[in-house]
Amino acid sequence: MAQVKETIELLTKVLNRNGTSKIKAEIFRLAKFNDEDATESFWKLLFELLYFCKYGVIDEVTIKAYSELSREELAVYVKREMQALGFTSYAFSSLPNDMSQGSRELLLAFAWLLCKGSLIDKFMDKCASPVEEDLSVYQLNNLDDSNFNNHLTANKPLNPAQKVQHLQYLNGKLRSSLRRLYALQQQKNKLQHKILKLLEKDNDRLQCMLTWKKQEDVFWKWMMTFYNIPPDSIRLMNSARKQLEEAIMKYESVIVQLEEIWESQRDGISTQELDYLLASINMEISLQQANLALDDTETMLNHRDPHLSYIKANKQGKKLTNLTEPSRYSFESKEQNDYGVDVRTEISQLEIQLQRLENELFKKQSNYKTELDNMASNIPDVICIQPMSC
Amino acid sequence: MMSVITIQVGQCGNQIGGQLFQTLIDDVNIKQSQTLVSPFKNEEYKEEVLNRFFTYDTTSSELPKARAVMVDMEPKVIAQTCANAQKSGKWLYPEKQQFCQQKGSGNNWAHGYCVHGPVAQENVMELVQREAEKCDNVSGFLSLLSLAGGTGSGVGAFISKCVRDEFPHAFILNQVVWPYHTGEVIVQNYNAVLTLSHLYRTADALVVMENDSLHKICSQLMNIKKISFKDINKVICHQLASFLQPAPLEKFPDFTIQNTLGEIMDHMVSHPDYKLLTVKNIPHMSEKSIEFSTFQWHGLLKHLRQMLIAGASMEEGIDWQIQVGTETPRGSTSHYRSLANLLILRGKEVNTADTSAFTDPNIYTPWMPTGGTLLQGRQPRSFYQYEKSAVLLSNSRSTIGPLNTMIGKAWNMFSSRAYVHQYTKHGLAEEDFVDSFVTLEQVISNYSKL
Repeated sequence: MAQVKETIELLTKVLNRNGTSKIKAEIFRLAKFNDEDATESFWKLLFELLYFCKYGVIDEVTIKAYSELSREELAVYVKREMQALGFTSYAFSSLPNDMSQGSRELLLAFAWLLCKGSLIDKFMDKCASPVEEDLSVYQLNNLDDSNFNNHLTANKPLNPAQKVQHLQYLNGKLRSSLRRLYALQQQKNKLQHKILKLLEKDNDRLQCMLTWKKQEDVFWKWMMTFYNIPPDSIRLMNSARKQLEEAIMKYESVIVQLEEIWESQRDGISTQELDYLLASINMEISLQQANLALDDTETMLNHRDPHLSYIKANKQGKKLTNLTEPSRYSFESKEQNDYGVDVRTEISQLEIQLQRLENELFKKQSNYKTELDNMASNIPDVICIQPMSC
Repeated sequence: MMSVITIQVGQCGNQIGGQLFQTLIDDVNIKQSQTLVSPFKNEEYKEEVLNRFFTYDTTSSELPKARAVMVDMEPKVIAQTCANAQKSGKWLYPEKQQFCQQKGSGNNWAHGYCVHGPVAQENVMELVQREAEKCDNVSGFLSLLSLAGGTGSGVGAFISKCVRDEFPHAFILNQVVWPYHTGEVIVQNYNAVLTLSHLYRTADALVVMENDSLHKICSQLMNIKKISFKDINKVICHQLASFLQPAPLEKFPDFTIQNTLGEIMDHMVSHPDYKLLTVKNIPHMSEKSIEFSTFQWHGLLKHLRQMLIAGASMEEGIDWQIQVGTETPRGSTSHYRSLANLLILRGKEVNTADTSAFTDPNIYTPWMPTGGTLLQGRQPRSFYQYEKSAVLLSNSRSTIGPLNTMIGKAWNMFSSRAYVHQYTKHGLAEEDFVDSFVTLEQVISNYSKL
């Protein structure tokens, strides 16, 4: 596979053109054989690429960060970032943090990042952006045309000598405007030249990446040959799978048990739910009662406590007790106090009720009197003496 | 980014150059609380300054390097200037951008222009070219030299010509200082006439300052007892920086543009006959007094306007009698008429300042269209610890007074051919003298007709 080397070289070129540190194709070959010499380069490469994924650029900050952070910090950072991106290889996570070994795992991690993180596409997105950005167009708005036209015309009629001066002035103005225009033109040329150079560089980068896109299958095929090298890898994988199955079987019974418990528990409502339900019902009832209390004289007259309440059953109790009825009407009942009623409103309410009661009494008294009179008139020879009114 | 390359020639040019970069950097590095703008805005300002006048790399920790080429015939001043920059710890001169020889020109303009200049030409232009390549865009050159010296003026005028040939489209701004009336060198007026006339042919504009006025600013406004050249250079650089430091210019209604050298030149010196500019700053005071002073825009601008029409270089002792609008039947005026003005306000509440007094058409020459008269800029970022400051760059008649005096003195000497042989022995012809006189007489005549 002579082509492989070229392809990897192309890949290193693509990476380097996009800002990563230089890496040799040889390092990839070494990494394939898990050579220790390749480890550090790959840690660095991964760090730079992760930085790129996060911030979209590889700049001085990246280089500075790499040189200032300790090996351990870097390794932990790379591992964590890879995990966050979804690379959950156990072998990768348990690589020694001193960057001493494990270049193969690192190569795998790199390949994963290259593929899953669609790095090449991201690199491409970054290309040609200097042109797209900063394309703000400067426009000369609000220039009042009439103002502009009169700008350099003479204010008043001039004599011939003055006219000559004026024309000389205009001529000079034109010349200096042309000179400034020339300077601006030169600046424009310089800037255009700079842009062209940038574009050429971008073009080159894009060209590299396009070639890579064409050839990348070679690289992936080469990556696939990984699995052919360790002879025991399939056996290892099979045993790992068996282990997994065994583990699942082991926990199967526990799962069934858990499910049963869940089913049984579902019948009874949890105490918490009960508490919540109770509280809301009580609240609703007391609200309704408070509304009724003001005008429901009948209830008052019947000496009925308006403050009905549901009392929570004891914990073991399966059924809810329904209504309980406090024996006596009392304003000092707990619930009432809890609402913190103002004494004055309470007194005025009581007075109203008193008034009503008196009216009621008076009404009934007169009713009974008339009834008594009627009864008496039906009995001959009887004189009815009404009782004293109280 | 429009950058300015500074060319420092001779003792005077190098000393002023060193001070100029120091002033620019000091202004950039004032305390955040004194900038009166948000840290973000201040950072923008800083970046603009560094890009204009320095090469620097944001990613490295290296100090900014002045975009400058240094030329002198003696190594002493250049070495001293570079050492001062290094001592500041804030900026440096670029390496290998200095050219010097071992021998001065002994105050002889012709020796500088005809002998030293051509010898240095190739090397110096290589340095200039190298500096230009560091810029994305060369907005122009700022050339610093003295009028009356030997090397500075002779070689400087020659280099100015070379730069013009090499960069025909770039803008060249020269800063020159009129010598003291009672000068220290007997041939200073010859040197000044020759320098000025040559610069007038090559440069786009000359910012003219007078040693006498600068001296007065130091003694009367800054309260300096023993005035050194360093103090005077500080004032010069303060004036230069106050219009060179970034500020948005209101070019059209609702349209502003940065005050690049090209923009400034385009507005100020479009007419090829009028190239002399003066700078007027307000306020000017010692650092100690700044803390205890407050100003109102109204007052500052009123003073500045009177300085403009009365041709005063500082706010003290202005002639308030001179008024605009008193025209004689023949069209001459008592006030100093302008061709064009650039007004930049910096600091607190700049947007509330009323600048309409500067748009008065009577200030300007009649044939000047309104669009060419006043260009103004407002920069909320303060300048150099001044809570409010204003600078007026003006192309007006006020420069011709000292020019006239100087030409008169030089002509008197020339009519008796005094010292002329010292110039002709280096290859300068008498006709060159005459040409220079004619050029400058023409300048005076043009300005008198404004």
